[in-house]
Amino acid sequence: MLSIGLSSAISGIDAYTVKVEVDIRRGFPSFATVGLPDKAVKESKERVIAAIKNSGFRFSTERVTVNLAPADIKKEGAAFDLSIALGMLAASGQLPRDILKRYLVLGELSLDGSIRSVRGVLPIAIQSRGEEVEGIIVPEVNKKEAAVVDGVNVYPMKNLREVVDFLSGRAEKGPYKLDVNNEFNRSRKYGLDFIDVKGQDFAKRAMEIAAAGGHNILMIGPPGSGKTMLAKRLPTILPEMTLDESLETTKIHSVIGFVEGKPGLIGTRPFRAPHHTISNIALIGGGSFPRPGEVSLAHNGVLFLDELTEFSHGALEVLRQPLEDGAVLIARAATSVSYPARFMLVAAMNPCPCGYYGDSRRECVCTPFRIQKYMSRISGPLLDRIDLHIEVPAVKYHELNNESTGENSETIRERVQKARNIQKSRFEKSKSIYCNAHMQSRHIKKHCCIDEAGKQLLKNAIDKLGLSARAYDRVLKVSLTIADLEGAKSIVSSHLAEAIQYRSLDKSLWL
Amino acid sequence: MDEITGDLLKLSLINDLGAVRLNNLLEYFGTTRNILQAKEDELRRIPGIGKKLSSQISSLNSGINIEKEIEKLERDGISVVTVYDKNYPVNLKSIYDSPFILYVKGEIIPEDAYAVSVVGTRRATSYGRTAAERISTDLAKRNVTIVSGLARGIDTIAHQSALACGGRTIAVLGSGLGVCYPPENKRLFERITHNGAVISEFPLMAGPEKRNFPMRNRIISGLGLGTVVVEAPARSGALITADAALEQGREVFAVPGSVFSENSTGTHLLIKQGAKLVEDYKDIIEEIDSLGRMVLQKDNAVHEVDDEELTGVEEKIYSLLSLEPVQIDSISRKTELPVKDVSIILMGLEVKGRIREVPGKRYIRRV
Repeated sequence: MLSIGLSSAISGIDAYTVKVEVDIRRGFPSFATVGLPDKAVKESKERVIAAIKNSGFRFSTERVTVNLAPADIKKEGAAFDLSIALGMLAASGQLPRDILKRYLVLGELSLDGSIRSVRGVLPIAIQSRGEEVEGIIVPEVNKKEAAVVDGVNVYPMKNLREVVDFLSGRAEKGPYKLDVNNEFNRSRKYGLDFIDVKGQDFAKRAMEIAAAGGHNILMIGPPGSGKTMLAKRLPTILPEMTLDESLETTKIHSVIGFVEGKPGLIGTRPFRAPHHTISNIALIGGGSFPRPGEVSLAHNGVLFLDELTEFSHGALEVLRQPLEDGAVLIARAATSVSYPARFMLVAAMNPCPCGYYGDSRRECVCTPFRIQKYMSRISGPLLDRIDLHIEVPAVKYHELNNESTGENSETIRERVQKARNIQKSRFEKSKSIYCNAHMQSRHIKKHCCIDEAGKQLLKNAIDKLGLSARAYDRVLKVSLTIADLEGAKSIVSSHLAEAIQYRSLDKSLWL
Repeated sequence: MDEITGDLLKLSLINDLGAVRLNNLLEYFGTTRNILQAKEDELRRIPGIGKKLSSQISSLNSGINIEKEIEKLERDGISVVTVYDKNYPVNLKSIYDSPFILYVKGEIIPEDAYAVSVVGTRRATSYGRTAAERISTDLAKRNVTIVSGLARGIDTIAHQSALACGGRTIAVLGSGLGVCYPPENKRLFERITHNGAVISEFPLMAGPEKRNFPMRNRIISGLGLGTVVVEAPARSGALITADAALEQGREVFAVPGSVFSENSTGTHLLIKQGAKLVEDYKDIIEEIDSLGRMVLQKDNAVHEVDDEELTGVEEKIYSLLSLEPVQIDSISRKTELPVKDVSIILMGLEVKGRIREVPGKRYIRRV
């Protein structure tokens, strides 16, 4: 007998429905799975058979064929287990067959029949709205992720027996409901605050500007100067996430399967700090079954690259596309998928190989040639995408105690939010521009008008301070953000003067 | 180009034939022409001329197209000055192993006799940079030509400071003039050729061989009436230059540094051995009479450029700064001004040329 059930799978960060067809007929006992299954899907027969038997159902030793349609897309993972098991029960007459078409079923089976978590529940729940189903059956641990989607009935289940009882009408169960706004608000707290950082007023100010304009920032400082500490707190001063942003970000994390056990929505801006040994694929996304990489997991948040110079050359070069487009396109022979990746890049590095160049506590032991070689590991094109570079000095121990702590994150965030509001109305008509950092040359020409005094200042800075002309556009962008923070109508020379201060690497202090 | 110059040019193409051995040859043969026409076994009678050298010398007549070489030099704007020429630097002529031939890009003028050599470590600290800048600027402003070696660190600062105040400077290379070493000083190289000269005794395309540098150092010290060492660790090329200066009977000066810094070991050693301790340019001109007279004449003519007026807050911040670097956060703390205002004011002061940023977002006064 034949049974047809519904399940779902992920391509990119979107889901598509998979029909799970199970056919059981008399013949030589066998179990075949077709429809381009991968190893995990093929192995599901062992889990399914054990789970069926251990849940007290009958498994008839007959000829079983499982087809996962559409048959030409590769299927991966163990999320079809539950659907296959139900299909077999229906095909062997232990469950009404027509009921299966009314639910979208997800879940990996354990040998004892309990249901394990799966990846990508959120995009699947979103996609299920387009199907004519009454609801989706998900593993208990994934219930919150699924329930944040409006207008979908979510039925969380613990084990196979519970599912069968529910489907055959032996047990009543209402859909699981979640107050999305409540859940969203609950997840918005950061554990960190800028008030924890002592001293470093200059660096903090630069961080505020970076946050206000969405600018990428590079911190250069000796070991132990607090670069990581500053970077970790950057998300706390970025504008609060909107529900839409939160859904986007949660969707990507759901595909990876990180959301397990945590609140159903990611309400805080993600902070991703991959180690410098990371491979290109892990950073950017990809693989034979494409997965989002760190850049996409940092979507709407911060990607922090500590020890920037230690990252492989290739890894830094692949960063250029997402920095430019805010998305990653992974093209493979069979498919191509696109992952959103709009993040703020925060990078940190030492000023030289030994780490103490320009440090007042300790003398640097590097030769000029080594320092130069070290600096040249970051390519020009990457540096061109970083608007601010600042030096973060080491704070002396005795200063740590009497340093002022300054403002807390909330106060700074309010200013940042105001500046962002100005930018929002400025770029209302432009597509794909949300903040000053995304401006292209023509936008800079339009929005960054400077007066004569300003032009003179820039000219002086280029002539006298050795500021490279390459810095020109970046300085204009950053000045606009400084003006926005101040609520000023246009850029004046004090804005420019401050902006130039955040171009350490252009001032050719490094020999 | 006359015959002697051409002959010397040929002879200079031989790597191992230095000034001393060439001198020996000239004493024996009288003229360069005779050397080139001599038989190998005759050449070998001269002390220091072995089988290899003698065959290299006698093969010069046939193998090398000197016209082509000269053409190439002319195309690059390089002139050749021999020890027999009138415009050969006087200071250099009086040393015992003065190079017979100099490749010159730029121009050496008679006034370049008033020269002081400024040398030091390639790994200069901001203290050393400031000291080198101050001394070089003060001397160059008073028409003293600054001689150095175009190396990284102190050398670069010495050349740059001289150029920045409109003075003259001479760079002596340890490679041929066709090779700029270190490569990042390419622009500085060009600028020097317009306000002084870049010179070398090595053939056009000779690389920066390790053994060239001690030879180059004797020219640096030989061109100057005195040699100032700013920051040198215990084993340093700058000390070789100082030794050469002593051998040549020139003055040696040393700028003291911190006793905790490795970069002071060499300079302090010199002071212990009797080199004059230098704080500013006056200590130098005091010691060298001819220089002193020249500077005194000119000093009346030098009119200091009036510094731009500083505003109240600018003055407040400027007064906090010294030659010891101060970090921007601590300026902000001491003045109780928000850091963004401080950074705007610092930028203003920097553009006015009163202060300078050093690595670590720190600031010092300019001298």
